[in-house]
Amino acid sequence: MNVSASDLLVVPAVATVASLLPLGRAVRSIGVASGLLVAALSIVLLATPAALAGEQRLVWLAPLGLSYHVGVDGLGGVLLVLSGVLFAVGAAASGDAPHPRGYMALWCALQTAVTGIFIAQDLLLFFVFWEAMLVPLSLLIWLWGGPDRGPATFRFLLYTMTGSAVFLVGIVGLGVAARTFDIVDLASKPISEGAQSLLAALFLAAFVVKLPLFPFHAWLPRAYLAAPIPVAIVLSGIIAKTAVYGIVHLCVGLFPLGILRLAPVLVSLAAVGALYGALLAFRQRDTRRIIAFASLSHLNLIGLGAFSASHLSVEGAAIASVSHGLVVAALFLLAAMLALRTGGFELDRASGLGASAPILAALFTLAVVAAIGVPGTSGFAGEFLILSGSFLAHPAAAIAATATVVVAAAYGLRLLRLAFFGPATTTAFDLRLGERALLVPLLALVLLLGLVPALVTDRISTTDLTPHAQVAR
Amino acid sequence: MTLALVVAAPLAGAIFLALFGGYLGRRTSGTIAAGAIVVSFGAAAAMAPVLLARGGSIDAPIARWLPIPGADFHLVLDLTMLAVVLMITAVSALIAIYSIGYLAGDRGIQRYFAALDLFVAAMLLIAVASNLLLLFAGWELVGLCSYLLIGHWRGRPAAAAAAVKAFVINRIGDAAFLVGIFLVITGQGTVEIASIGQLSITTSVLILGGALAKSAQVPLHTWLPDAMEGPTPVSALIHAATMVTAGVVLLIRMSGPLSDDVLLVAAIIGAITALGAATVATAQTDLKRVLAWSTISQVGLMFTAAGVGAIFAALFHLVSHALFKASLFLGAGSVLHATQDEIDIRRLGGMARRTPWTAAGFVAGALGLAAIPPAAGFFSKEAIAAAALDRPYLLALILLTSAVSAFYAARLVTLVFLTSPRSDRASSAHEPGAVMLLPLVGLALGTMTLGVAVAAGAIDLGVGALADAPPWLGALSLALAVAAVLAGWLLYRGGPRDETVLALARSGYGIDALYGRTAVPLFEAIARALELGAERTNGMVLDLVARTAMSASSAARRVQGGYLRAYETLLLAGAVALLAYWSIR
Repeated sequence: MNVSASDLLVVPAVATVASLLPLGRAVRSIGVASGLLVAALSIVLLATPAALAGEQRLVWLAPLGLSYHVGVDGLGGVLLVLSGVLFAVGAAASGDAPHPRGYMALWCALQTAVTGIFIAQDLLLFFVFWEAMLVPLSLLIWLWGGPDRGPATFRFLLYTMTGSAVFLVGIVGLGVAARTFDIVDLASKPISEGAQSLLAALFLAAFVVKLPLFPFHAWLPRAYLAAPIPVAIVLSGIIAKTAVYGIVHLCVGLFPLGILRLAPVLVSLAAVGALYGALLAFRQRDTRRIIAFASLSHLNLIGLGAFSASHLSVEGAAIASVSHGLVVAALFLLAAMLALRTGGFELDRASGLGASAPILAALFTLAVVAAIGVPGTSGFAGEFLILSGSFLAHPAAAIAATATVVVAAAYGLRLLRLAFFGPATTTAFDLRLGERALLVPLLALVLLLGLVPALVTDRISTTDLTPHAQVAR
Repeated sequence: MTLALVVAAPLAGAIFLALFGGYLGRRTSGTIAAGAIVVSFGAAAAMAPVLLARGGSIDAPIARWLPIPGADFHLVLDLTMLAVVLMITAVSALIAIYSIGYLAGDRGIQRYFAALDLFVAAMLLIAVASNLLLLFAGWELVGLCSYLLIGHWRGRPAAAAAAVKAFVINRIGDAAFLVGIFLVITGQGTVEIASIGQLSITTSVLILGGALAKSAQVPLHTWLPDAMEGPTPVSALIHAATMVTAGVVLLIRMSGPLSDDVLLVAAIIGAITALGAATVATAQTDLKRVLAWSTISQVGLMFTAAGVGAIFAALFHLVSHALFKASLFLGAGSVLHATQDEIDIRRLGGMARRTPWTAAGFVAGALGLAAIPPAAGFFSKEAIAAAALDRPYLLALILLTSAVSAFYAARLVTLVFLTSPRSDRASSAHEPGAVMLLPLVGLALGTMTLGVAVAAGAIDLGVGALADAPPWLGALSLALAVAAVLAGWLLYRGGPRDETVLALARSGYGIDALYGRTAVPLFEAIARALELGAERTNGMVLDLVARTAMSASSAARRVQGGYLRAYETLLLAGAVALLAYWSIR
């Protein structure tokens, strides 16, 4: 079966249009199908031995070196599978959104843009998709979000666009100087170390805001809370990973010496961010805020792996990215299910629900266990590879980040204790079949990847890193 | 294949019970759980002849795991760890059967037995993992199961808090262990235990840190007494026979690579912990807390043995302690069951007459604790003392600990069993059923017979025999033990005494309280400061930029006022300025 990378774009694009059909609430099945299909096609592409699978190149403006160049590499393919799964899960969970057709159209449009980021092999094309993400995402948060959606969206846009503006300066500067915007061509062009550092810094402006790296994260708590749960899942689960992809594919790929020079600062910020997020998560009373700050912690840990740029740490960043996406989706869904039963997301509304809802308690426990990195889960595989991979070049940061596991245990188990332990102040109905159908696949994947991380790491080591990863050995 | 079965059987049991246990009853779940462990025991026993005949180890590579050299699903079993495996599985199986009776009427049976089987699988993994990473996986999973089982009675806030405390304190040790593993990877290039050479002091200290937390030694011991909030079979299994001994197992398995200086430090920490914890045990009035502090103390003795290189003594005491401590805990559980949870020993009494079988089992365990022959405890403690002969300070600590242990053992037996009942619940107690008594009796018999068998050389533990201990040592130990037991009995045969002089000891010398006043509030203060300080200001920075941009734009916007006369004025002013500029040029 000959799949090209553009097919991955066509599917959600068609879905966007199809969502406008008068299907009522059933329109979300379009979103689910679109997500699953993209995931399946990506798996097919990952199985092909080419370094850049499904490659296609159509020259656009030859004098400027612009072309429509797309292809799927190892890390991109893995993240595409994740994005497909999360978009499908989020669509399935969007059952009670008002104006479902508009919602699903925007949802699929968002999926199109995100898919484009992972397959773009031309800098300007990458940037187009990068910006294109913002429109449907902002509309989804602004029109379907909770209270505070206006200021949250505004702040999110402000931060993101500031980063994108600086990013664009870098892109144009590089593309004009090198007379090409093609990522594969640029990888073989020599760039001086000073230029690499400057360009890396410019490019990173967009990615450190999107990840978000500490201290550029002020938009995160408000956005995660204002967004509807499915949008929060996608925002945290996959859109944050577009930043990871940008860091590894663009910055480490094109400017390895630059990243090497900037690494001490970046790695320190990431380590601090990991601890900071965990400490703040411990203070929160709202389940969504706990998940938000826990995500901040995890995403900064992933950033640590990406910035350390050793073979092992990038493999770790890849698994941790997939793991975090799956786990955060499960956590947000579980938080919503809990809130449904207690009347809100605040943890002091009810306690002792373990007695009346044991399956909810069990799955929530499993999700938290994965979040805090207990071996057997993909969370541990990712964390361990990141930390051990970063340890040689950046021991202090790695040790500081390792301390996060203690704080993670504190905030994770506190969440479980407040919700499920103690005297039962109310009873709740246990998980229904539909709710279990959403959670079990996510958690099963977490366990599968925890036991067979090679499913992800093998894809990473066979492709993009080799010439550039000589960097930080 | 057989070796893989040792771990796979309880793991499969755990998965099966987690998924389907809800459809089965208490007895079926318990039988499946125990059955899986028995299969594991059988698989291990089946490998004994091979190992006894040719020595060495049995190797079972299974599958790749992480992309780090040596970090695979790979199991290895030698004679030493075989003893550990057999002990773990035998004791766990008996405790699983005991739980069937103990948890009658409990609503969480399914998750209890699933967690129990998972725990056993994880503990076995620690013993047979070929590499540090797989060992660490078992290590953390054991901590997770401990959390699940301590907090089994979810309705109890004290149990919930104790479960979290146990996990978090263990995680502190785990973090140190992790950094130690990073150092091993960068220094040795592999995590395969058999291939690791000499480790640096830093690496050894970090690995020791992990062991201290898991085995509840000073300063990371404060979680164990609180863990008594869990069901008593859990205390017997996890906090006597297995989990807390994981640190000792680690020291035994890594005794080659670990730095000798650090091992000596481990021995000293162990000895000091042993004596300190023994004195605290003497002052406890809660039946299970006496046993908890006793465990801390006895594990300290194992650390001492392992630390001075006396692997045989450490291993022997590990097995011997598992038997007598489990007997004591199961006996305590029977007492609680019989008296409807009367846990204060000042209000018990007369249990020997009301529950004779329980008393017999408990006393057998107490003999082991007091180190009186023929109980195994006598021989294993003598082995440890013999190992410390060339370090008089350690020997003194060991002998003192033994004396205090015998004393509080006698105090416990006297107050609970021999004096007259001091409450209604004690006077109306009745013997629990066979399903709880048989495991207790089994363990008691094991305590009595195993010691003699090992000391006589009938059972090979794979690390050499009892060193030739001078006969005066055995005589001295016995004399001290008998004297201490007599003292305990004489002092307490009239009932409880005024123990205000022991108040400091009862509180564990204030260490837990100290942590509660310093470390915990400090942590919370840091988190609060970050939230109210850094997080608040973080948002303000870009808000400021935004507001500046907005006010600049609203000022600039006023140029487009739509006011015609303003436009005319500006046009005129601009034209005048241009003309002036050209004429000057």
